[in-house]
Amino acid sequence: MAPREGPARFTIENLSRRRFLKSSGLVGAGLVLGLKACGGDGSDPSGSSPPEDPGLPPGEPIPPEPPAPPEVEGGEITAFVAIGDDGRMLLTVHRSEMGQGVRTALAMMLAEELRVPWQDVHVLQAIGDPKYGDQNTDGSRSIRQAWTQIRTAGAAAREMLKQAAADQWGVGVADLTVEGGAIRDGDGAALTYGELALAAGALEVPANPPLGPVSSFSIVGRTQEGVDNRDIVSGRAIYGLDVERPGMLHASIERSPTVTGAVRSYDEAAARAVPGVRAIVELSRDPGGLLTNAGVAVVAETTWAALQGRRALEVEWDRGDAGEETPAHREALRAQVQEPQAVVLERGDVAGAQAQADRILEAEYESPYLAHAPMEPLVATVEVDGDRVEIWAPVQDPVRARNAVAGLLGVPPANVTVHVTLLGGGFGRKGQPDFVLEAASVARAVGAPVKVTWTREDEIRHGFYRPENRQMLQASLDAGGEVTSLAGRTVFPTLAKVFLASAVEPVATELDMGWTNLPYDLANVRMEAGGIPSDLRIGWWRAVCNTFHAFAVQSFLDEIAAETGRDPATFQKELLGPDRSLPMGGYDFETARLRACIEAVESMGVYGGALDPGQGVGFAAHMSFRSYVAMAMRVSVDDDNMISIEEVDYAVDCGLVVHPDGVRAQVEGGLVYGLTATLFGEITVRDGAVVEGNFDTYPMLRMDRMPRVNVEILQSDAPPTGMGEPPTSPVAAALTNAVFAATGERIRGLPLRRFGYS
Amino acid sequence: MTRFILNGETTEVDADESMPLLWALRDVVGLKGTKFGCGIAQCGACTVIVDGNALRSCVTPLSVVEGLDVTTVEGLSEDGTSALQNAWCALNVPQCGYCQAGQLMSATALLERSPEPTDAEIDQAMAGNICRCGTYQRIRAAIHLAAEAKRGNG
Repeated sequence: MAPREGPARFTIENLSRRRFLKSSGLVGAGLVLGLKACGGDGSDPSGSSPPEDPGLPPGEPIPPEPPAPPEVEGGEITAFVAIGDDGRMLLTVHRSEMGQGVRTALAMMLAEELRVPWQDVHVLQAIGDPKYGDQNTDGSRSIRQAWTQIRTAGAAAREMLKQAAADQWGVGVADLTVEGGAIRDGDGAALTYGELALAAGALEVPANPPLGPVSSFSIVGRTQEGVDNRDIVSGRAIYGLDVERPGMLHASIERSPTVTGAVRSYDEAAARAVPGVRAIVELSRDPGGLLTNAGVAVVAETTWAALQGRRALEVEWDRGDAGEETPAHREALRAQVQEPQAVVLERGDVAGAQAQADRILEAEYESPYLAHAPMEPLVATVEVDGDRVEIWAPVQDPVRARNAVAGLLGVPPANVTVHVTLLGGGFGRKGQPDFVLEAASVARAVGAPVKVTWTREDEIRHGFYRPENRQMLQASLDAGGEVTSLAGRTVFPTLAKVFLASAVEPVATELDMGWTNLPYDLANVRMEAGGIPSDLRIGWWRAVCNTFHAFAVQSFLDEIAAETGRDPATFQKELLGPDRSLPMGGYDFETARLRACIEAVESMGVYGGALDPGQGVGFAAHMSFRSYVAMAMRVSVDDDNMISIEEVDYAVDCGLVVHPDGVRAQVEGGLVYGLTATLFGEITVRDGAVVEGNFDTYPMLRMDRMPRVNVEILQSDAPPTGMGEPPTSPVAAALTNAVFAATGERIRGLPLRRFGYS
Repeated sequence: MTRFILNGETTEVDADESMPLLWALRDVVGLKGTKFGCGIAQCGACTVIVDGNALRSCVTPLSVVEGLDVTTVEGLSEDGTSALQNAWCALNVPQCGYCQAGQLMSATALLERSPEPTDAEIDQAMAGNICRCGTYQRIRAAIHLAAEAKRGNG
């Protein structure tokens, strides 16, 4: 289990006299504050960082990345707030922007406490550097972890500016007001932040600056235009694909179809004969094969020339010992859920309850491997100059990329600078550093800046996949149809494989995603879990294990409700029992919050609405990443089993909302991501290699299938929690439950198109 | 040498005539707003407008646009304030934003031929553009908003 996340521990440091930001040219002299993390809040409950308790046997080799370097001078400064003597206000955002709106939301928090117009705060993207603390952007936790820190820094800056004005005027701070980027006295005199910045920078940082009460907020909690909107719509925004360096070459890599493969032969002369091709670089699989495959890179003057040269290579591969076949892997999963697995949660006496039961319901569910398919395929630009390395890449975890490249090239991590571009989607895939490592290898070999651009086929076939998996669930019922026990088994290849090739068994952080953290008020529960080998790399995919655990559990509860003739939402509220706070080892599951989401959805319109023949409504509710979601989906299914997803209601509780329109956007997007997977998403394996390759074989939901989405955000004064992933978790069950309601057919495997639906 | 009108200006591109327009724009001309997403005309991220029609530049050889009029996202307006661009910003359409240049080009071509499109027309015109972030509902609304704004300016 991840350690309980304590109260945010940090200090605010006055850096005004150090030359932290001056080299950026963005802020001259003025007031500069840094947030120095003191531990305690960098924990990762998502399981997406190296697990705290990975369950690895002792004595195993450590992951290939070198340990983090010692702290740089000044400690771990996680964010900078700067106010220049020209009045410019700047926030350094240390998380990556991949469409979740973090640059906007964090800047809103700062503007709120500085009490300045929203547009006046400028955002600077941090490089990857341990001085910023944990920069790994995953687990829906950027808002949760920055909420107190950034507001405190803003409040400290505001109080220092106020004190500077009081000193200048010889009055007490109590006589002053703050408005619109200026400090005012009672007589109409005003000093702007720019005019006060230098003097404020010479003051002590106040220990406990007062944070604005929620009731006073005028920026947080209201819709704002995203900070990057205008650059995006005019084509000016810089993604990883758009990086340009003087003398840069372009590369494309033909990779081994299996993770175990090695190069046997290729036609170097044919590739070199393509006009514009400048070099061929053979790449070996990384030691242990955790991250990169063997490959052959073609380096050329343009992307097109590199692609043409790559086509001419005609590489022959030794495939190694990877030989997975999808039908056999699914059969192995099916066989394994028949057998007892490690008990990961037990209370009461399931066997006794089953022995006395009136009847026992049992069902199995399976979900396939999934690729991420961010619209921007993987891409990285690297420049190696002696023992110094510069990287421009769309990475979710820039420090991991930095340390990995330092280890690969044998240079100190401090010599590696990672510039984080905008990410054209991430969804977990861009937390892996494999594509940066490849670019570093090629750049070192050719001695020039190189951009390695992945094709879509590369991205689909060389992923870190959502694991293929299967669950078995059993419920015992008494004569009145009440549930007397719940038992379950889940089997999947563990995410711990990211860090250790030999890892097999699931770890606690994976099971804390919809398996061991269920909220139901049942006396007898036994949950088991087991791992299974895989010839593919496994990774975090939006909402991670919640996607398949919620599919199984929320489908099964729908089956019980149907079998016992009960309304699904009412049944789930009954199962929740009296309102309780359930400690889950790091956070509390507050059942009242899930109940409130269910009740909200019940009254939004879709649930319980009038239906025509062929229509049906599916319901699902799930807590993940500490945010609570309930949803109802109305579909119609025609005679050809074509599904029309008509309308979806969502009720969500993610605590206090920083940017409501951002929350709505994440719900809309999380729904589409889940619908695509549930309808179409399937990665299959033949002879150890992925079969699908592009959007023709790995299809996506398009505009013409987009339902109307309604979002109700529950009012809450709980601390903010994330919304990047939670809306995706219950989608699969909501859709298959809706198909059941419309057709009477229960689908227990994904995607739906495997079962004749389109 | 291929000559065409690019965003209103006569342009000469010295590149292999079989090179897709996408890579010629990005790597040779240096206009990076047009994006690569699939390379097989499946996703629409590379959409540009050629003589009024939305076209997938990833599968269009450079030779095809000889003498034609090509518009990319950079040519939609001087300062990013066309009716569609404004609507995209006002409704917070972009999430990651990577596909949005292609979406805007398809939407621009749509409004040129159908100034007040229905939802069904929008769905049909935009179904070639994939957005993995799921911004479809907002794109629909933004096209309506832009159509309304253009009508108002009329």
